[in-house]
Amino acid sequence: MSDRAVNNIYDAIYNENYRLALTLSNKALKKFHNDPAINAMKSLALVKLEKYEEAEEIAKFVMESKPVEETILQALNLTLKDLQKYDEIVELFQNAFEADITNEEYANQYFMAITRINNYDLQKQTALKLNKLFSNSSSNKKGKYFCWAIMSLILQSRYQKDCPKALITKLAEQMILKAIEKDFIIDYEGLFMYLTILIDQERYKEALDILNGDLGSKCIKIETERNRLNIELNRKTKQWEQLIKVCQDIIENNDHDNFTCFYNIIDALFILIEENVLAIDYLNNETFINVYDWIKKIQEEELKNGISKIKRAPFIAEIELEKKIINMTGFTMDKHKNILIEYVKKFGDKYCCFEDLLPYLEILDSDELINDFKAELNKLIKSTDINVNDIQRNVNIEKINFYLGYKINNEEEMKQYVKKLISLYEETLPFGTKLEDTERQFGDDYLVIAASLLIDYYKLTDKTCYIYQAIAILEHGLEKSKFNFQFKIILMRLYSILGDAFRTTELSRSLNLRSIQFDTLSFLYTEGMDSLNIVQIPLHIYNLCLSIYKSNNIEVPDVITQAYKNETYSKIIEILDFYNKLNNSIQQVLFHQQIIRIQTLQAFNTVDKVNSYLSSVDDKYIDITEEYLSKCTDNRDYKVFAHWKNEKTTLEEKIRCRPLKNTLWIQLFGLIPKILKNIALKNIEKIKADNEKLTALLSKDNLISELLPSEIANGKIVNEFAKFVIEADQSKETKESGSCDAFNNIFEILKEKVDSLTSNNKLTNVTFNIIEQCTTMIEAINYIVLLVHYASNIAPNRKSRNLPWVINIQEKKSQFVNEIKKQIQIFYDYLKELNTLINSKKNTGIESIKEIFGSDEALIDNLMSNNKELLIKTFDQWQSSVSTSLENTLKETEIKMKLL
Amino acid sequence: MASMRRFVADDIFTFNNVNLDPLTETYNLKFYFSYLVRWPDYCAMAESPNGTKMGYILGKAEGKDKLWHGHVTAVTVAPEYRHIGLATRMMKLLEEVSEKVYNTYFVDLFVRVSNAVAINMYKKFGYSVYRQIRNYYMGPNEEDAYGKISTKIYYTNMRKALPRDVKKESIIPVGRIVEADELEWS
Repeated sequence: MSDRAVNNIYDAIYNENYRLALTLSNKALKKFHNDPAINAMKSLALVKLEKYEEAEEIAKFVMESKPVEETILQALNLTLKDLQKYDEIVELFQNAFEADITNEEYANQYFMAITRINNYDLQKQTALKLNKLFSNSSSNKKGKYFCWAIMSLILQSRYQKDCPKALITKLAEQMILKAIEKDFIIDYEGLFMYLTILIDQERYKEALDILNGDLGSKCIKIETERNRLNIELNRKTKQWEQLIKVCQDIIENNDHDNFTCFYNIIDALFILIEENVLAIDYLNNETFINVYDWIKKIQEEELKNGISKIKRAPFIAEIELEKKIINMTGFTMDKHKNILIEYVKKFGDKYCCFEDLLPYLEILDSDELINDFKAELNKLIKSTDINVNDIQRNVNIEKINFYLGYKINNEEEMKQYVKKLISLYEETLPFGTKLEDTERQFGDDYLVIAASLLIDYYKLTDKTCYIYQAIAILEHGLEKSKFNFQFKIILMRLYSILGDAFRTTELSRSLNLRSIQFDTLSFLYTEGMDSLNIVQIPLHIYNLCLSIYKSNNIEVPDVITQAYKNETYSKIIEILDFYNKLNNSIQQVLFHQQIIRIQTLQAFNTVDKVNSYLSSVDDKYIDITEEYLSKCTDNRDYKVFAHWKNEKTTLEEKIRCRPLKNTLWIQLFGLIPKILKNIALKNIEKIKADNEKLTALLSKDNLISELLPSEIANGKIVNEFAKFVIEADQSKETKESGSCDAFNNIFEILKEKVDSLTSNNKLTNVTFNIIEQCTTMIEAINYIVLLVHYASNIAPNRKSRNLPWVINIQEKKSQFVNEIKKQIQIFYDYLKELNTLINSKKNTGIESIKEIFGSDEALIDNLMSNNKELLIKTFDQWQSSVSTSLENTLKETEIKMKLL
Repeated sequence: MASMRRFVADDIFTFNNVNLDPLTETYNLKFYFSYLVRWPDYCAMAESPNGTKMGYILGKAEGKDKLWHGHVTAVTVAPEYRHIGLATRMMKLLEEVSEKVYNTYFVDLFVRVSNAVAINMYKKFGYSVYRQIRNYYMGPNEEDAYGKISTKIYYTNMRKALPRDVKKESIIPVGRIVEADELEWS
């Protein structure tokens, strides 16, 4: 081996010049034939160049020599990690370790490799082996390897199916006692293992004693951590009186703002009442009176601090207590209204006042009480000689009013309210002239309420003009508060409803989403993008978003090994759960399936091309098994939207451009490409099995909750297509008479689709709904092209071309094609007319906006006195996006007409 | 009115209302986890009574000998929970961890020279300006929040001495602008 050659290749890899590394490797291999170090480097260069098969082949070849040199091991480790060959990494380091059992570094690498394969028993055995072999090493002086074994047992009892959990936990307990004896348990992380072992056995009282004993004192140095565990364990032991005392002590010990403690005190108090430990006549009960008086005492202490420094928790605690009394007695009184008013008086100038009160506004359970409350609340509004604090209070009052509900009897009243909100917003702007770019204007929430009202009216009337008005208002707000994410996420959804991929994407970019947000927030703007027939934008976004799952696979297991090295055991379970939650994310499958859906459309220039594409689709993303569905996680963050109305349906739900994609969607969009793939591969058995699943899926009565009617119709077309293929292969009747229902059924489905689409009022309602119907129409036509192609080649061989059943099918097919062509022509004419109309509105600015969206001229003019250009830009962008979608569909329709 | 607890891995799924603020960076997974598995006690999350994330702090201990110190890597509060003393509580926690768990001499942090609001806030917490640094980057994606790439960013390095630094030597100002590559740690 030449060290120099290896170093040169290493340098090239280090500098991420993988092509050079590969060239250097090949050159060096000519001189040093089959050199394992050079080959290991070559495999790493290949994997970085995404030549996975070749990389794996060379890595395996090198592994056969059971290498022990550090350079080779590290190169192979990196290669195998990228290939996700974790069992092979174990084998690699097992060989190295067994070749030299005195090498502690290899022993460590071997253990770390095992942590990736979830073999907890082997993990434990290896940790104990390390403890024995390196008992006196400096890195093991605090019993690290012994603790690794304990942690392995904890994981085994939690995650390994079919293992004697009780026995394993008992063993873990014996080992932790031994570790305590040897003084290995010295900090929070060690104590965490002990407490976990006890908690897993539901021995909460013992865990509590340990926490409050000498070991707990030694290991936990931060008071808040001890307090948190104390509360958690006291709850578990159901020692309610003790819990009250612990929480009171924490609060009195200079933590008056600790709402968690107040909440626990009140919760414990009412559990005691429910358990009849306290008398039902709570007003005469000593414990109840004591707690009530004690809260009042803390409030009084706070009031001495001066109005600007008062802590909120003791006052919210009183409201929480009253809420519990109301729940128990069913009586709401004037005093309940009063404590809410008092809270607004004290804390109305804090932004979070509204959030604080949200869980308690429902205690106002009669119209009379609500009206009285509102009347008093509105007296707190200050409209002259105001400052920033007054504005904040006014905004909070408006939000509370909005939450409790306005009586809006007609469209005119709604518009008046919207205008009032805009005017209130405008009045706050002079106070924000000195704010940084990154800050929000003080009155931004007025605009969110205004947009919410318009959205409600859109839901009520289905009139798109309200969407456009809401857009105008929020875009106006965004001019002043460039980083208000609430504006942006609502806007993205509103543009999605209009079918505008361009502005939606622009806004999503400005949010600067990255990393985990690809999983948790991308649904805000990607849900409908695969239905717009705009290829590049969604493909780019989906592929970018998929990077988070790759990071999860490559980086997170490494972090778990770091947790072992750092002995931060409390993080291992947390991070393992995180890894699984992200790995099983429904969003990951959605990205893959949406890519497959778009690429299928993209590949459809010829039948051969699309069949070749479908044949290459990885079953991993389309074979949606029951097992997958059972462990599938939904990490989408719906709570990020403002939800300021007392309604079950959230704002997020109201502004979806389509029903939220979930397990039904992934089943359908797994089965469609899978069936088409197996038709291309002529795999009848698989087609039969999957078509049974598709039939069952299509018969479910909740399909509409996740799927669009056009998508369900396409599922039915594929279902009929698959039946045709199965029958043509097996049915005696088909073979004798050429009978098949598929042509008729599919024709009816397509005709219904065409009728539904062309019946739409053409211009005034062009939204996502129309564009997606056009896109799914072209998908339906594609499936029909495949069916026709299949039917044309139905004769098993040349000789059978003249068999009566074959001739019969060909005749039926010809009739079918003629009828289908007529429908496609109707669709094509509709598309062309629509597109011409939209294009004719290009650069006609504000006049077109008023014409198309029927917006309230006065409202728009008022709003846009300084922002006309913005509104015109918005319209042009919508026009451009929709036109791109329609033109793509037009072109594809022309191609399909020729293919039929 | 916040519940303070350790930052846990699952928080990464739900901290969006904090992280969508333009001044809060969302890092790659490795970044968060490298802090969680190395300094779990330095990472805390503040939660509202209804479970909404209010803000969080990430920190670490580093340096040698008398430069052994706690460092505030990130402290952030969601817009709706500002001006209620949350940052004070989180900073106090980090100082407590620095003192009681890691026994450091001081705590330090970096803040943009232009961010006068933050500098004044830290001064109220007892931090003083130790030095200013030229060409220092807090993170690889920093420029994105402002929509432009800045090649020269000035930072103020602020410090607060802890009881272990009896003579308060750690906070004696340097008195000149230093280059980023002169820093003892990065």
